[in-house]
Amino acid sequence: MKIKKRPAGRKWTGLLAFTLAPMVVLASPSVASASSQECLGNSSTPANADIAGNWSTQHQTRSVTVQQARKTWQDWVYRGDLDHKTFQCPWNVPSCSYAWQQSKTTGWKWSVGLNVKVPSVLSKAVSELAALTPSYERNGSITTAFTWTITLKPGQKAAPIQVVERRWTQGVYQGIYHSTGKSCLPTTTDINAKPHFYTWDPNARWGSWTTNMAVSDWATYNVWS
Amino acid sequence: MMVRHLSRAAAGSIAALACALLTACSASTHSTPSAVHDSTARGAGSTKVKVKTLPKSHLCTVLTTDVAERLLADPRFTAQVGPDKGGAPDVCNYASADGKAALSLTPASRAYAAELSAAHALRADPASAGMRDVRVETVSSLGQRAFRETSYQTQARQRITFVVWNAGYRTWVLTHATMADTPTTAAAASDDKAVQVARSITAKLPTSR
Repeated sequence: MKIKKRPAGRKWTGLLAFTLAPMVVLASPSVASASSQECLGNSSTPANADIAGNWSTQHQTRSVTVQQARKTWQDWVYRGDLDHKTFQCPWNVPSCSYAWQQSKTTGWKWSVGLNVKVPSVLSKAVSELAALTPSYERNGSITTAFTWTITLKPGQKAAPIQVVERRWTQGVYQGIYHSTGKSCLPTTTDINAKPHFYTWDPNARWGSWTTNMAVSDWATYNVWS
Repeated sequence: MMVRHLSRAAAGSIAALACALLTACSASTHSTPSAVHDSTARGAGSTKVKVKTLPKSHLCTVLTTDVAERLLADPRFTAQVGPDKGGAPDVCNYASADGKAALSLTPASRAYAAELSAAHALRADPASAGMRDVRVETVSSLGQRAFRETSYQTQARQRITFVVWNAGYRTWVLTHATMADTPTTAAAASDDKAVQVARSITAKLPTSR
């Protein structure tokens, strides 16, 4: 069985017919004899579409970080001034010492602002691609007992804040199944599957994603005049 | 508008000063001067929750633990948390081991005359800062000019003494706060231990701008 491999320069063209719709590994006698190929497909997969590897396939597409911002930015996951926790040092005293004296727990996401870019015809696959990105849907939380003091000047305002320090991160997806264009035996469980043989390319990089990844979390007071 | 602003400030003041004492107990665990301290809490996201505290102020070389002991029982250095943005006032702060009293030294943010004017304004309208029984007295033999301001925080139930003095180009504020269920008559300024502490440290304080 001849494997149809695409030249490297045509990777993106091939991806135009790519899909990430849920796949089912379709076992058939021919698979066992063609170890470099897999018989894959489902009812929504065009015959010439490249597909990403997921939980149901022998190989899995993964995400690779390719670039990170040098600087981080602060994501204030909790700010007391929005919660009416602002304290103002009176103007007619020389100095104030302030501590909120309350404990606060706030949940946050490790990854926020995820943006996945793939050809528009693949939009239906974005949710599955998103799941491949680091820390996707991973939750964190910060519990802070605001018992520390802060000294304020007359007239200054203060409110507790909880901060997640984030770094803009960009990456790509690596690994893809190229369609050979040759059909294989359909499964009895999905008569509409139209399965085809695919070859796995572990080094192909395609698409892109950006997100803001958590790197640390801490708490303090926001002070302003 | 001004009235509402002031009453809001008063409510905050009460809370803050109450916390100043209560905080002392727990804050004593952050006694090591460092830019960032780990707190005891842990985030569920498996990262350690960090708190940005300020390095120990150089003013603590003047207001030492031994000096603080004259006003506080078993004084503990109290770390200050750094604000998110902007500069934080330079302050050296101690609290008694039982958390019922606190002592701090900081440069005034206003000129001496402005501080004195504010003190008289507070005496005329103590409720604006949640206080009562405000007294302002001149203090002798302390810097070039000095006054003592005593007051009682009604909601926080604290007796607060500010000693404000002008020395060289700078004006200093020593704050002594103690828990008290009822306002008590302050000792004469000359006998006030806070004033005596101020007198004992003023020569060691920086005089330049």
